[in-house]
Formats: sequence, structure tokens, C-alpha cells
Amino acid sequence: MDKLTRILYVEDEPDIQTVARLALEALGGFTVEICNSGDEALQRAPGFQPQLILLDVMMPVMDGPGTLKMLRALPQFARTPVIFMTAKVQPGEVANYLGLGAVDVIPKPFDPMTLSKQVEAIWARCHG
Amino acid sequence: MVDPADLQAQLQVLRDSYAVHLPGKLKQIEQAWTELPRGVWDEAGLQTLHRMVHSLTGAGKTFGFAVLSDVARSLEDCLQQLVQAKTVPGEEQRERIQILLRELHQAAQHRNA
Repeated sequence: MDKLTRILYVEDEPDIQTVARLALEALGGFTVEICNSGDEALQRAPGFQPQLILLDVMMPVMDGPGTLKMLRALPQFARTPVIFMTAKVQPGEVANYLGLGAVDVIPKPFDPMTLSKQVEAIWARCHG
Repeated sequence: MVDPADLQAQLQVLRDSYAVHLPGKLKQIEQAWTELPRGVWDEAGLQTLHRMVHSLTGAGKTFGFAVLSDVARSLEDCLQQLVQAKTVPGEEQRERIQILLRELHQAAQHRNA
């Protein structure tokens, strides 16, 4: 299994961007590229070559599911693991995210102290 | 990688900053609600308000405001129903939203240890 080092995080909320970056870089040791929108993610992902993508669901203009669909249309990201990070975690909503091709869902609000471990566990499961 | 204790200290700085800016966020939400025209469908206005409240749902607890996240989730559910049904809020719904807005302000006073 490849070691997870590069994570692309797509999130429009600056407060959440800051705390997630801190948690993932400082505790997890990952290199994190933050994108403010789905459109920005589509532009920057090819250059960054993420191994895993964290995706907010509710964003203006292009939401998380729309971004996932566009990413999947790019051959290099057709199989990149995508985790939705969202406060919208009713059972039906989670089933919908998984049906769209996400490997898992991390509920918001998240605990910064455990976020890296959650991501690592999902990564390990994807490659187990 | 940093020591978890150092991370906690850095997180505390972020929590303090969030707490400082929280009254401004609540004021913007209050203003967005006040500016929604009564009896007229304003999809863009309602979606903006929904997104602002959603942001509190997703972030509040992370920054030490667990009750705020819970109240925001209730308010967000109310607003989401209106957005999905494309319904102008009736008197009962307006009253419910007003109550939840007041509770949001109260919840902002309760910061986790």
C-alpha cells in the first residue's frame, strides 16, 4: 500500500479550511492543497496529483456531488478515493454520497484531533 | 509533525479567533433573514441564508460551540425544507425561525471548556 501523503481538500469555508489544514498537516504529516471551490479543484488537481480528495458537499456554484462527477470524468481521477466531509449526514444522504462513488463520509463538525486518523483509516481500508 | 499539545495550543488560537468573529456572523444571518421579503419567494436570498446557517452547523462544534452547531442544524433543517419545497415561509414557520435565531444568539454564549 502506498503511503498517503498528498490530499486535496475542497472547502469554501475559510475557518474550516484553516483548522483542517492544521490538523492534517501538523498531526497527520500530509501535504494538503486547499481549493475554495469545485471549479478550482478541477483546475488544480491535475498539477497536484492528489492521492485522496476531501470534498465538502454544500458549496456555491458547483456543489460536492457535481465536483465529484466532473473529477471522475478526468481519466487520472476516475478512481481516486473521495471522502465527503459534510454536516448533511442523514442516512439517506450518506447512502446517496456512497452511491455517487465516494468511499466514505466524515461528518461535520469534525474533531481536529482525530481527523488525520479517520482519513488514514479510510485510506487503509481502500487499499486493504 | 507537531506534538498534540502544541496542536491544541494552535487550535485554541483558532477557536478564540472564531469566537471573536462569531457575533459578526450572527449579525449577517440576522440581516439576511430580515432582508428576505415577506410573502414573496426569494430563492437566492433563502439559499444564501441557508448556506450561512449551514456554515455554523459544520463549524460551530469544531471551534468549541457544540450547542451552536445543534441549534444551527435545527434552523438549517427549517430553511432546507423551505428551499426544497420552494415555499414562502408562513407565519408559523417565520415564528419558528425567529425562535431559532434567538436560540442561536444564546448558544453563542455557551462555549465548551
